[in-house]
Amino acid sequence: MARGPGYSRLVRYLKIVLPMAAVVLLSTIFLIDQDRIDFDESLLGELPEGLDFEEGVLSPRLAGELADGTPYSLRAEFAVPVLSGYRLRDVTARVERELDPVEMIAAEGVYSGDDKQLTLSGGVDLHTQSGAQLVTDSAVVGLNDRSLSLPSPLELTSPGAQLRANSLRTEQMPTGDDIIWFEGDVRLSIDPDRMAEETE
Amino acid sequence: SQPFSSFRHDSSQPVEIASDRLGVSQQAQTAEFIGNVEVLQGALTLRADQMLVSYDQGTGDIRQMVATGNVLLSSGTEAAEGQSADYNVETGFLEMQGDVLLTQGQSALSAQSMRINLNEGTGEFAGRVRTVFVPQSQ
Repeated sequence: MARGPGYSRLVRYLKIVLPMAAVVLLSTIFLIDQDRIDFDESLLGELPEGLDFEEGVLSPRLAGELADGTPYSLRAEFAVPVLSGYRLRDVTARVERELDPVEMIAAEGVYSGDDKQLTLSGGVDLHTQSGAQLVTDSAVVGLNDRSLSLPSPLELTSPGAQLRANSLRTEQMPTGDDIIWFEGDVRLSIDPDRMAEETE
Repeated sequence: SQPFSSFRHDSSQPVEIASDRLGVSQQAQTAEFIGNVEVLQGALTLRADQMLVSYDQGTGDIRQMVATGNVLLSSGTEAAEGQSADYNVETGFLEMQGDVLLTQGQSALSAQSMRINLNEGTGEFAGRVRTVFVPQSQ
């Protein structure tokens, strides 16, 4: 119902910000795809006396490149093997996207090798350098089906725009296109002037 | 006042869009608002069962907004109802189809379709136009 810079900025954000949540969260899962976490060798050497691997490893850290060559890094305060995967604490993942790096922080994470699923909980905060941010309580990222679901209320903000919903899930279409569904009490508000200011 | 004259929108105004669901498709470059859709901007309110926003592949600019099902565009002084409304953002024209009705105070005009220029607050009907005047109470 409107024209002008605000709307195109909105769409650019819709186009960039919304799928980004999936990219970062899915990138996090790809990092643990090999069913084990590649610990930084030097770190293993500095483990406190008496802490054997079964009890867990302090600040596992790994870095590499995504399929498209974008550098990434993942670290956790602590990782301990659980039945078929890992429990992580204070997880931080960064994807060094050119011009606008993305960082995601989650209090806890459980990676299950059986169903190839990473569940992040205790508060998930994903933000970009340019000021876009997605905040929710938990996230479930599926490796096999590249699915992402945020089962609790979420708020997505970027300069001049704000989107709230009760939950989010991605749906893979036969055409290979991912649709991101925001469900329940969806509220999108845009302030074209603020958007225009932020991007001048 | 002239019919349609209050249907002018100011794109610098904040916009609020509410709905039950929103589906964003990267590939199709669309955002689909579904269920109890309400769009507020300045004095204008658009309500519909569903609204599909599609945007330009290259620039990301919004190209078109198609609202379907119980569409109501109101400005506070006038209201236009119909079964669907197709808004071309580039030209500023909103085409409403399906037993359209324009009400302004006590009078109402009905036709098969209407075309409103939201940039200028002008409009025209198409198909058989019927005018309904409701006499003012003495």
